[in-house]
Amino acid sequence: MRRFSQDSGATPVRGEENRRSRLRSSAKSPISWPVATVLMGIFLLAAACRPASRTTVGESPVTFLSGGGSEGFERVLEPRLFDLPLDHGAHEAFQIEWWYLTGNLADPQQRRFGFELTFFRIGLEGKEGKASEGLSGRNSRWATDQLYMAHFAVTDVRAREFHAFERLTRGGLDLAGVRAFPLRVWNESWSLEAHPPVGASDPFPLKLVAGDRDGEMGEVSIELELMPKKPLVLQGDRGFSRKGPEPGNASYYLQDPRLEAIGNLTLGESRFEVSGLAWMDHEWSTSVLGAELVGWDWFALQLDDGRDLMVYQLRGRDGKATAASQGTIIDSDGKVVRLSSQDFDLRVTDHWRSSYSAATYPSGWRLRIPSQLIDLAITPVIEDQELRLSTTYWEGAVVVESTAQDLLGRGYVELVGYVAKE
Amino acid sequence: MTSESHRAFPGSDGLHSLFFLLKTSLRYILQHPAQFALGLLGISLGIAVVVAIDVAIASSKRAFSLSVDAVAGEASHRIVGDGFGIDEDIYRQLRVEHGFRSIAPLVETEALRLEPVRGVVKILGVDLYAEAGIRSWTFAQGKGKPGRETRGSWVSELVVSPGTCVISRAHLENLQAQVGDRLTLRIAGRLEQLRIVGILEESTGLDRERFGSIVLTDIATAQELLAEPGKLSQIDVRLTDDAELDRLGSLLPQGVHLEKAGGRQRSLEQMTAAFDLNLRSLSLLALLVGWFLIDNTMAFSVVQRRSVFGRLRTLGVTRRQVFAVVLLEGLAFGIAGAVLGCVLGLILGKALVGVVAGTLGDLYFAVEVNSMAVPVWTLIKGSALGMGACLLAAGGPAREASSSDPRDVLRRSTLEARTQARVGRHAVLGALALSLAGLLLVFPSNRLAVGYASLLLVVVGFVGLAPLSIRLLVLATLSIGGRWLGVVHRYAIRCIDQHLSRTAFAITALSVAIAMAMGVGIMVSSFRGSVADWLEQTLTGDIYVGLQGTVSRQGNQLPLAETLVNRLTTLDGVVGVAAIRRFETATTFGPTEILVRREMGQHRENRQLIAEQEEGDLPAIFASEPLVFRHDLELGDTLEVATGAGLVKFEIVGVFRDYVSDMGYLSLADSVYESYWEDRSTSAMALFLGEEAEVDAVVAAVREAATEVYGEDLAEVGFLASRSADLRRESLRVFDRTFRITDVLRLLATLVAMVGVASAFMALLLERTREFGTLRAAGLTRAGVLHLTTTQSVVMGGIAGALAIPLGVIFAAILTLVVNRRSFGWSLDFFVDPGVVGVGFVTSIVAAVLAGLLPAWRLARLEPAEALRERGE
Repeated sequence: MRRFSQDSGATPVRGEENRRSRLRSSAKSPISWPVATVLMGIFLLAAACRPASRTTVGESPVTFLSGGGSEGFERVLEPRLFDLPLDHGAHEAFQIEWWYLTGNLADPQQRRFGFELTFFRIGLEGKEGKASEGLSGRNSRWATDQLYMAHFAVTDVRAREFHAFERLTRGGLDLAGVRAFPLRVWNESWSLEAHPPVGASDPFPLKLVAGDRDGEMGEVSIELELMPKKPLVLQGDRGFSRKGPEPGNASYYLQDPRLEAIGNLTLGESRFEVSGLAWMDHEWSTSVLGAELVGWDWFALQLDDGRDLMVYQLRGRDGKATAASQGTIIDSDGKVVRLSSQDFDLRVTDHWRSSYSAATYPSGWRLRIPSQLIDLAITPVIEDQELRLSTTYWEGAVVVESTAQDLLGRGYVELVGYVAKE
Repeated sequence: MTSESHRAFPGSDGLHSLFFLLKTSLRYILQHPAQFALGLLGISLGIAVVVAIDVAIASSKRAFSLSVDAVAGEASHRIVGDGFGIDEDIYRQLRVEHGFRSIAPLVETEALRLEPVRGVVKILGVDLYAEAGIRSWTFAQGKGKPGRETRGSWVSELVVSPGTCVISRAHLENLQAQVGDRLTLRIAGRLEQLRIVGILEESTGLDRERFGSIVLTDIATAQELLAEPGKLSQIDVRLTDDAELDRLGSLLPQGVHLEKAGGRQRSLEQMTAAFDLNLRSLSLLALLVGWFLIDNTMAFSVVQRRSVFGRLRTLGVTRRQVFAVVLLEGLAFGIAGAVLGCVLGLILGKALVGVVAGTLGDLYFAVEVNSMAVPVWTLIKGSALGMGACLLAAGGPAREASSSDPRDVLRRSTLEARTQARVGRHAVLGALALSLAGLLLVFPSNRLAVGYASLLLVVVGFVGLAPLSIRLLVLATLSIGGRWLGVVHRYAIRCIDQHLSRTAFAITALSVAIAMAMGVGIMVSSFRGSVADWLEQTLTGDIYVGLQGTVSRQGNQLPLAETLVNRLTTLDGVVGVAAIRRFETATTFGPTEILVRREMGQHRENRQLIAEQEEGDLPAIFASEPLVFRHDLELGDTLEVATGAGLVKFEIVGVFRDYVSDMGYLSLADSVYESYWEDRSTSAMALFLGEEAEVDAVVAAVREAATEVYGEDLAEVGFLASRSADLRRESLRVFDRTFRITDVLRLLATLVAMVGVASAFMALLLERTREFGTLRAAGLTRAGVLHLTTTQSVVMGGIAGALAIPLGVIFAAILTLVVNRRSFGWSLDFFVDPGVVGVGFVTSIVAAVLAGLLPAWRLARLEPAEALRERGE
């Protein structure tokens, strides 16, 4: 198996015989949305746990996210060589890892839907420097040091409905887990599974399956097949994505910003043949963000002209974006342009208040990137796309329009840190 | 009632005079404190026993059902297997492949906690991430060792680190342990240590009970503790949708099925119903004796005051007023007795909880009772029974005090004359009651209540016949012993007949109590004899080998290590073995134990068939006598059993004798077992030795072989290798332990009877104050008085003891042949133990003498002049 290392990061390598070579480095990457979710959970937990110092399982399972400390886990300190396809799989030496998918879909009658499916892996105990024999000395298939969490959400634009579900499952007994090759990431009956042709080591086509039941609606499920339209991007410095000035405050980050999705979606009695564009991130790390941040707004936009745009801003205690806010543009050829916080201007144009969490979220933005001649209005397809799971955050489908209201593209936005800490 | 009785006295209205009457009552009671105190004590003890038994049973059962609750949680159903657990892959398939989410796996076992304090614990191995919606656990952070906190959450430690557990705060306090300490448990025949990493928080008092003896571990840890990787005890399910339940049921492989939760609770009720009824009935007998007592006290108080009542009546107090005042006295007694009885009952109940829990543990389930359950209903019931008894007891005397002519009431002899005249009539009524009891016993019925009704009728019949019998016995004593008896003795004995209205009562009360003790004693000894015989015939092996679980006899036996089984089969001196497998599985009648015996080499047959028939087309199964009884089965009946090959219909081809389990169990031929079950483990072995083998040497060899498997400390892991004689002795010891509660009840009933006799004597002797005054004046010394009264006590005790013998034997026969059979289905050989009868007889005399001491002493102390003056009539 070949090892790949990308040192220049400037030249896109695309369309070659082997997907493994389509490696790409991007601008220095910020904390991405998935990190946000996990870390937010931890923050909330810390806040909730401190006074009472008690945990009720069965009521708030996310408390287990607190896991052990990061002691005993490897830290992300420098760029590394990626060993594909094995690196699509799990890295248990690191504490946190996720496979994160979002996308905008439509049926042949142009009925539009959004979806999110995320698989998290959380290490419960670091192994580094431990005298213990780990799992090898154990006689039960239930024995584990891994916890798996997954979130699945569907936005039904026409019905203005949003459905969100969660899975929190231990490792062991193959209830949830990750197989590196061919890639299979699953949490109970939800899965992301590679079905490469015989002989190919590529993870594509990827098949995604998830479903649950939501009250009166009944079944909410999705089945999609994903094929890439751009080469894999190594975010940050050859896939080494810094999150702050401290060493080790970083992640390894692989990204597929544009995947073609085709499949079907079931809502209650109705079944829709759907297709559209999806976005996938695979990231692993051990580090935890500094306490000076209260949250972040994250944008993943797929423009009709072939460009994909990732912008985020980190919010400090004063609610304002910090200088660490950044962005990336990947053009239709896969070429990456980095944006610093000075390169773009993001303004909130509207708000929405959740009656469930009492949080007031921004609900409309104007994004300008003068150097790229970009001036966009970003609007949620419906206001309420709040995930009320073991941690509460907003993540939903958006439309991207010109200031003259011409449709320019679609995307997904994540808003974290708006719910008051208890 | 005549018009003259309406003359007002002394106040102008009825209420006022009633008040006046009550004052005279109170004065009378205060003047005779000992007498009323004894009566009160009697009725209180009666109530106390009823309350105590109720409380003890309720507390033990609550502790059990709470621990069941903790396991069942909110589950609506559970998935169980063929008796050997279920494959964990079934769980994975249901969750991952079929998307069932409201299911939670459970690995459950009982273990013996050796350190820091010995006791029984229930180990629950759960997947905390799957518990939502089924069971809810609240954890509190404990104070760990310094630095532990910084290593992160102990909850993840519970999951990640093997050998860790969480226990409740109450449990922790009971053990005086803290987080970080270790528990030493005996589990699956091994010693295991578990480190406490956290505290299971109780949010309610109920939780305190519920989690009292629970040790919560991760499911992986529990599997490792049990050394049963791959197995789950059950899968709890919370589903209300019928379609989903059907889908779930249809996905289960053969040998695994879905059943409703809560079955355990119901089967507990069924299981212990007969046991409860027996205990409660015995406690009612104690109340019966108590009732005798209050009845006597009331009657005596009325007799003593007959002059007062007579005078009051001549002064114009109405009959109704006299009647009311005596009834009110009875009611006051009832209320005081109820209050005192409930308090005493709670104290006694606390003392009995251990005994009852121990018995229930031997018979049905293991439980650690941490607190008392006091059902309000119990107190109401006890009080109502007590007050009812008092009112009933006051009814007769009240009628007597009010109904008679004022002039009659003035004469003591009227009452006595009436009593004497009624001897014959009572005897006829008594004979009638006895005949009715006989009819009830002959009447074909399996109802336990009918058995108890006949028991009650026998008592009533006995009470009716008692005065006549006493008279005959007195006459017999006088005529037979005439030659050897002195004047004083003859006088003393004749007095018994002359004061029949008093003596008959005391003798009857004592007699009933002694007969009850005798009856229960004879029943127990018959039972013990039957069990001993049966053990003799059943334990045909020379040496028995097995692993002791906890204290519970229910559930699956721990399997012996296979290497050891093979080793023992070929041990020097062993010519044959019987490998015994005991397990529990679901059947038509709920979870039932099955025993399989695989014989190899030279062995001796041990099954004692009571009935058998030819095998039919269906696979053959044998049922124990109690099982057949419990479920009303007969030869040729069929039943379904959950096997490794699914539900299979078996035909009962034989019924065998067994006293191990009153739940009953099934037995299978080894060949039949092997065609339906996969598990080949052995739970116990019987070794048959050759002629020249030394039993002790072989036992030593067995223990040596076991040491290689289980380590040096065989006792700690519960490994047993016993000679059959030792096992027999041990079994009988357990038997005796289960009957300890009846011993306590016997003692209590005798105690109540003694109080009764004392009070009757008191009445009798005080009534004869003047008589004794005359005798003293005529030259009888104090010692003479004591001699006289003691003679009377001995004779009365003797008569009571003699009368108790036939009654006791009838009691025993009904208990052994009817009540026991109808409660548990055991056929027992009836055997009258002369020792029990002798002890009963002697107890009767001793009780009578002891009870007569105080009144006799008081009489003897009287100055003759004073005694003569004191005559109040």
